[in-house]
Amino acid sequence: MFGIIGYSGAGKSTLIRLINLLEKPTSGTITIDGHDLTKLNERQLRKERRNIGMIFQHFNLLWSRTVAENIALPLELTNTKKSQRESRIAELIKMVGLEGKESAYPAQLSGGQKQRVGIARALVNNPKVLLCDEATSALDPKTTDSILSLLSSINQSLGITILLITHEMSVIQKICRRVAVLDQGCIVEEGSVTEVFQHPKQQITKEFIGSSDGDQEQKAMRLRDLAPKRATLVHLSADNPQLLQKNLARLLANTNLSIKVLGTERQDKGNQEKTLLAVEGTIHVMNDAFAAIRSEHAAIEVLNSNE
Amino acid sequence: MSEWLQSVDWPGMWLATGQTLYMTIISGFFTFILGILLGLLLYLTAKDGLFENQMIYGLIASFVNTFRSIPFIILIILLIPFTMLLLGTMIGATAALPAIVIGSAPFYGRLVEIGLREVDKGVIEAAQAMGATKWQIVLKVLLPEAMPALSSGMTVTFIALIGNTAMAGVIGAGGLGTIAYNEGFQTNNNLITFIATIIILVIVFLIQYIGDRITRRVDKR
Repeated sequence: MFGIIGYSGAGKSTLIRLINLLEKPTSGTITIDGHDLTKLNERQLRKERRNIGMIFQHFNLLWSRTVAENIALPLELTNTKKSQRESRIAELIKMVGLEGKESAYPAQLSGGQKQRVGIARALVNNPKVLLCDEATSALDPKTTDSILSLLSSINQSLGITILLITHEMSVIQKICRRVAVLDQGCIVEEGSVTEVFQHPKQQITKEFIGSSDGDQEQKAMRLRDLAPKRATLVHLSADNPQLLQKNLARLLANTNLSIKVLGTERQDKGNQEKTLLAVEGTIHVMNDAFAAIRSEHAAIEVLNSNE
Repeated sequence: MSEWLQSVDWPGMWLATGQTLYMTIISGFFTFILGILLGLLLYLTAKDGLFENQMIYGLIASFVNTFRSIPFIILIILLIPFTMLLLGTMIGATAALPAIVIGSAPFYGRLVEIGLREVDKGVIEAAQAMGATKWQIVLKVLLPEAMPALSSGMTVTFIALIGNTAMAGVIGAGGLGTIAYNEGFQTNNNLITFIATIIILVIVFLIQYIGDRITRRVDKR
């Protein structure tokens, strides 16, 4: 499963449409499974396209046809026998989990169900490759997850290569093994998902990764929930952590303050990590201790005061 | 009132109604076929169409525009030689058909073109990605998906057609138009004109009703 990520206008859609020649390349070749598609004539290309399934952001179903009829369309194009058609459709309806919706019209389905029809339609000819053009971008997060897990199980059970393009890092993170980052028509970074995530090289890759853990704040909230109820929360940071560490024990030795280290936090995308402490004790003892710490070239910042 | 109504030549009135219906239905049928052909050609040969061809598009567009611009009453007269050639006569309901069809098909053709343009481009792309031929796209995707627009367009066209049959009546096509003009207007018998009008209105309402039902039926959006 290969993911391509890029901002709007980076050329993702063009790239994926080049693969089945919906867009004609001005130069270069496109080779799928040993066949060079750019050298084929119309008829050969149509035949080759049947080995390439495609699903779309806006599903692109025919609203004038029922679910079953939509899935049947690619088979009608090849004049498949009716009995054969029906058994294949039943198989696919089961695979994508749309039992009972066979004779519903697309207008009666939810977004997720429409995309399931799209997936069934794309798979009906047993393609070798499945192209996903922003397949989850029009769906809510929960539906996105269910579609992604469907794609991932199809990838494993049928052994189909899946190529997907998206602008959401989370989609890549969830199901792709390899990723390429596309910027202004060029692949600027490529590799296994874990590798690219851990050591992003390009600025644009870092931006995408940054946007995916946009739940920094949520993480911070969880840390704070660990604190005892009446504790005072402080941020502790120092220019010279070693020196602070050496002196901290001494500074706090005779204070009978109860101190609990909750974790580290990073604020406002700054690079400096601050240690989050929960402190319990009487207020003037606490203030004295903080003053002593500040005198050791460390910063201490009270986040809440429980008075 | 009843004396008045008895003065109306009812058999003649029903005969005329029959002629009007005959002209409407037959010319409607040919307008439908010809209009779909014209509309498809316009749509397919237009810029970025499946069979893009500037020359054919220009040719058909100018044909359509010309025949849509000529007032119908003048068109009938202009087409007399053509009708004579085709049918050997220029009098009667059948002789009115060529003019009515040629007057209405370009109008319906434009409506068909507009309807086809409204078909989602993404669906056409999906069909191409499946390996559909151009004709498969036309027959299996474009026409079915445009069906509500084709049907509501045909309803509008049918009603315009009735107007044309009445006008053709003035130059001897028969039907309710002839009765309203010859027996109503020229003999100053307003009752006849009035009754002919009522019958035409009933036909129009009926067509609108049936057309709306069909449109709603094919529209699964």
